[in-house]
Formats: sequence, C-alpha cells, structure tokens
Amino acid sequence: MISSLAVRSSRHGVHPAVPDAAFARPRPRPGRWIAAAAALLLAAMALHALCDNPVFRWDVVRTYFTSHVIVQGLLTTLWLTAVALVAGFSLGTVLAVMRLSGNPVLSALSFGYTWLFRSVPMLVQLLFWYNLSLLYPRLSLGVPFGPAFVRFPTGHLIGGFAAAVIGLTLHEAGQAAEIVRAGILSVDRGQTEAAQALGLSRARTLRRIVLPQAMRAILPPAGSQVIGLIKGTSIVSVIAVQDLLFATQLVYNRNYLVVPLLLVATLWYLVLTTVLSVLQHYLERFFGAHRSPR
Amino acid sequence: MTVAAVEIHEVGKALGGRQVLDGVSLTVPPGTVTCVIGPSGSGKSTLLRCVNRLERIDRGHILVGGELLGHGWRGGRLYELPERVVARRRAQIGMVFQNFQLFPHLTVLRNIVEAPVAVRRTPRREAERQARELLDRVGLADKADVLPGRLSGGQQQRVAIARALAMAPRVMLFDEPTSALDPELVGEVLKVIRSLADDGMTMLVVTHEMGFVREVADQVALLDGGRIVESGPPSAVLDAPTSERTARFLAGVPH
Repeated sequence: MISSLAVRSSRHGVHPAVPDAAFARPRPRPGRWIAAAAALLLAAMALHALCDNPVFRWDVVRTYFTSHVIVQGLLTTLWLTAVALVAGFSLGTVLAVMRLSGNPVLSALSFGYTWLFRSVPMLVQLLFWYNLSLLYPRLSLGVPFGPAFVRFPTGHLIGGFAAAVIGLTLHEAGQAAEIVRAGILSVDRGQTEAAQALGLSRARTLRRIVLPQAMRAILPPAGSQVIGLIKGTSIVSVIAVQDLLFATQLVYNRNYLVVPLLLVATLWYLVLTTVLSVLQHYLERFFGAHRSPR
Repeated sequence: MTVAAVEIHEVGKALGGRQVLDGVSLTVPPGTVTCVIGPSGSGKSTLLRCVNRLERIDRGHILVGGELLGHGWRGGRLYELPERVVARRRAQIGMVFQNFQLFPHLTVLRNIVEAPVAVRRTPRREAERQARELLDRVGLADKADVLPGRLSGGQQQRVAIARALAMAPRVMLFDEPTSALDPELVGEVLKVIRSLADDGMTMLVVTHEMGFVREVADQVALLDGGRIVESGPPSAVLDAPTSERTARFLAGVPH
C-alpha cells in the first residue's frame, strides 16, 4: 500500500487507477425525496381543498372579477397607492436628507417626524385625519401665530378620500425616510468627496452621484414597502373610502356571497403584488447594472 | 518672485482629539513636483485633503495660486465664502484618490465629462471631445463607453487622472495613487504621472514609491507626527538625511 502511494505521488500526470471526478456517483439522499414528496402532498391537499369546496363559488368569482364596482374599487386602490408612493417617497427623501444634513434643527425635526409616524398605527392615524374637524374645527391661512386672512371649516376640507391620501402619505414618508437614509449611507463617502473635489455642488452630487448608487440599497426594502402599501390601503375601507376591499364588502353585504367576493379581492391583490415584484426585479437589474458579478 | 502654486503656512489640524497636523509649512513653486513621504498615520493624506478643503484646518492658512480656498478677506479678517464659490475654486485643483473613486454607475466618458459640463458649463459635445483626447493621452481611448467596474485598477486610476485633468486644474494632488494597485499595474500609472510632470504640471504627491520620488520630485518632504521633519531635493533627503528620524524611515522602505 505504502509503496503504491509512493509510486503515485512520484508521477505528476494522470493516473489511470483513479477514475475521473466527473464520473463520481452522487451520494444517495433519500431524505430529500421523502421531504419533497411530503411537501408536494400537503400542497396538493391544500389546492384540492381550495378548488373542491363549493362555498368558494368560483363561478361567482368569475362573474364579479371584472364587474364595474370591483374595477372602480381597484382603480381607487391603485390611485391611492400611486399617490401615497410618489408623495411618500418624495417627502421621505427630503426627510432623509434633512436627517443627514449638518443642521441640528432639521436633523432633529426629521428624527421626530420619523419617530412619530412610525410609532402611530396607520389605522389610528387615518381615524385622526378623518376626524380632524373634531380636533381643529377651522383651518386658517395667515401670519404664523398672528392674524388670519382666510378661514375654512375642516369638515368640508377633508373627506374620506383626502384623509386616506394624507394618512397613507405621511405614514409612508416615515418609512421611506429610513429606507432612503439607509440607502444614502450605503454609498461610500469617498464618492461624495470625489464629486466635491471636482467642484460639483451638493445638490448635483446628491442627484447625480449619490442617489443613483443608493438606489441599489433602496430598492429591495422599498419594494416590500410598496407591496405593504398596496395591501395597507385596504385599511381605508374603515373610513368609507371605496377601495377594492370596500367595493367587495358593498357587494357581499347585498348578496351575502362573502367568501367568493373576498376571493375576488384576494386575487386582485395577488395580481398587483405580482406585477410589482416583476417591476422591482427589472428596476433592481437596471440600477445594479454597474456591479459586475463576482 | 512668482506666486507659489501652493503655499501651506503653519497649518494645524486636530481630528478626533489627536493633533494630526501640527504646524506644517510647505511651499510648492509652480511647475514643480513635491512629494510627501512618511510613515502611515503621519498626516500626509490629511495635509493633501486640507489643500482642497475636503478637511478644514484649525489654524494657519493655505494659499492655492495666491488665493485662500475657503475664505475671503476683508479689513484684516477672514470670512467664510459661500459653498458655491468654494466649489468653483476647488475645481481648479485636481485630486486623485488612493482608491480611484470613479463613479461606478457612469461610463468612463461620462465620469470625465460630468464636472466640465456641470461646473464649467462646457457644451457637452465639446467636453466629450476633450475627454476623448484625455483618454487617448492616458492610453485608454478605446475604453470611453465602458463602465469603470470592467477596468483593471491601473486603468481606473488612469481614468481618474483624466477626469481630474478635464477641469484643466492649476495643481494636481495625488493621494497615494498607486497604493491600492497590484504591483504589476503600478508602472502604467506612474508613467502617466511622470508625463504630466514632464509637461510642467504642478503636483503635490503623497507616495511610498521611492524610485518615483527620486526620479520625478523637485522637492521631498518627510512628514512624521504631523510635522515636517525634513525637506529638500530628493538627492539630499533620500541619500544624505540630516535627521535621525528620516534615516530610520528610509531604512524601513524599499527603494
């Protein structure tokens, strides 16, 4: 044995006695097969339960899926999401920049905002905005702490939809501020210094150099945030905004087909989040393009 | 006498409770190359960063082309200049960093064109023409449309040099330009810097490459503990150091 090893090590080339690794037989893994089969069985049972139960009434689902009232609700949900997304992330970016600025007052205010709006549940906030007229019966425009020029009653100003937009936006901004701040911090400080050394202004450095690179770190959490937002908009049904969920509730309060109509809403939420996930994938590819794979 | 390209006078700077620069004075005449050498942590990089005001100084002053970078001057007192003016003055000083700091999301060409277009208001077409000329000069004419991540370290650093040159700076600062490079890539970068020196560019270079110092520098300054221990022509400082500290430092570095 020893002598044969010695012979092998003295030869440097291919040794015919040792078969090539490319043809090695893989270790049998029965556990994998059993686990896979069990999981598949459970999935099949769940699917069967879903399709077979007559209470689901898939025919009703099909009828209402694209009915007028549901589509109207869907559009409201999309509109709310879009507004809260754009306004929320714009405000959030401003808050993030304020927080990272050298100005202690701006930084503290931004911190306070984020603290407040991340702490208060969205539902509570929505109810507050909806009932703003109880808190401040009138709003006025004028000199701060001084005389007012115009006054209007709040009750007319903020209806359900406006309360929903304001509540969602302010809530979203609090979350977005933290996401954007983390993104900005993920960019090497040297990038800012290089831009400064070239004489670029602060604003241009942020817009052209830092933010595009920060996108890579911003996008994954922002994607989750937006998906959360889409689903979160269903809360507005409590203040009688006719979003997707509220629309289905309107229908099943009339015809008592609760389960199929909730399914309609569920399927639409699934469609929306799927579309968003695909969009997120491509956005991430676009903003991560400069990173060559390691 | 002509105005010094860079005049550093009695500069002091503390960072995190430590006196990083402690009364440094150094003058770079126009058209000459000054190399700053010294052990790590001696304040070399900080000194360079103070020259283009990436770091503020606590005392003393720095003149670049006879001008204070961050301050104006009225009635015997200094007043801080608006950021816009500082940025404009800073743009006259080119800086090359140890780890390149190219903008990874912009192509090589756009890296170079960004500042001339944004700061100098050069028409984009004209800026691109100049950028291609500069790329040709650093031997990378064929890399204009490539993202920096696709280039080797040596190529990236040459792009960084071209980017700094695009602003037609009066002075170039190099902060250990070859320290992050693989040994076989050091030569190509030094060659570019050397050619700048031959063209009469005024340069302040922090480096550990003693061969380069000996060959290119008009003046060498050894910084240690935030003070300039010794300065003079390379032949004097490197071959016949007068201070014991310089001799000890030189004994520890290959050259």
